[in-house]
Amino acid sequence: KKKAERKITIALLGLDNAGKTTLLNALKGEVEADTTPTFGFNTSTLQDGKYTIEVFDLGGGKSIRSVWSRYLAEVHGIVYVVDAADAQRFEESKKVLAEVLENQYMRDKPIAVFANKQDLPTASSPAEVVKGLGMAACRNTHNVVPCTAKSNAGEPVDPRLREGLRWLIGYVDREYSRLDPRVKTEAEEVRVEEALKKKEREERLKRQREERLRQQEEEAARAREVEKDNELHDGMAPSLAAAAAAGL
Amino acid sequence: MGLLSLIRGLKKKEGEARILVLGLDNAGKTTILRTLSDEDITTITPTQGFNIKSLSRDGFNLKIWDIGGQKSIRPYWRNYFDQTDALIYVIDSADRKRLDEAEFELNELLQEEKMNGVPLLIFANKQDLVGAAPPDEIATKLDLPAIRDRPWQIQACSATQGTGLKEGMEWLMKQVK
Repeated sequence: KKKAERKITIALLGLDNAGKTTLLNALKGEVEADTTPTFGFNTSTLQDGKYTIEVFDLGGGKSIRSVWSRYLAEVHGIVYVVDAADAQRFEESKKVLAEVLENQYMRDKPIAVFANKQDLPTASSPAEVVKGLGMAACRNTHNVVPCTAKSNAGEPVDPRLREGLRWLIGYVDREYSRLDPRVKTEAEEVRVEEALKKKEREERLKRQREERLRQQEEEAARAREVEKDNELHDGMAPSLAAAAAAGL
Repeated sequence: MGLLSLIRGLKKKEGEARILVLGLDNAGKTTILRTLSDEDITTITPTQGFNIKSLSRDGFNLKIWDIGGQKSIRPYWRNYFDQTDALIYVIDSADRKRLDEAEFELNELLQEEKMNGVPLLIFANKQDLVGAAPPDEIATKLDLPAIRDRPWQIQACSATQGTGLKEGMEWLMKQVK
């Protein structure tokens, strides 16, 4: 039975330098593209069979990753990338992943963990990554996939990237009738809530502006009063002087 | 040597890249432009109270002006929005009181039809100052995570010290295709 085309949204997360953007480029077939650190948001669309997959590529740096939480209501699943060759940062990565999973919108959503940079001699095995990230405690359905996102010019893209993505899509597909309505509802809730906050900020700003304008007008009015007084005084001065001169 | 010539090689497209540099007054736009180029910046004043600085060099055409202020000049903005390749929005990170205002003005800009899909680079400027808000705080205050129709990047920088500008422009040039 042929299913209708399905739209799936996933977020690409992980620490800075894990290889998120490179991995996304590889999935898009752009192997030679150099990347610069992401400190924001970029969206890409992948096609896989009947699935249209929108990927949110978000920055992983310490100074930007707090914005991730704003996207989680909208996603069906997560691709979490780990630099498997940098075991020193496993602890940090574990903490960051745990924070993501604690988010209320992450309940029952699948996570594909890519143990990236397997081409490097210091790369940890998937089992070591599972241990390093404390995946045993993870209640979300997950799969740890070793891979090499970066490939040299002319070399084919690591097939494990596509396989890992297919696993994630497959899970989302099986749970779609339950997951998708929830994603739609929660995403709308967040959108409405944020729009409301924005409106409040705008109204506060408007009030501040009106107050400032009112103060400026008051000051201007006071200045005019003073000027008028001065004019009055200046106008009187000659007659006073004349009176004084007359010895009165 | 100006930064623009350094990043020249990144630009693939033939012809000029039209970039708008906007922000509230005192955000540091002119200082950023000076750091990007050694050249003097020409100043043109097309209408009363609407002061535009323009710089054309190495295949880049940058135009900057202050936004906010008088509502009456708003309609003139649109004349400059045609074929914009990228938008740079500059924030004074140390002036937390005006972040609401900066958000409001940015919002107005992004709603312009001619700005649809135009990549957005936020320079979180004046990071050298004590009390400067970090990038994630500014991103949240400006409600950047609500943006879905264009790529955006927030780059911490200090125009006076010249830090962060190159990184920001490198990202921007990758978006200009």
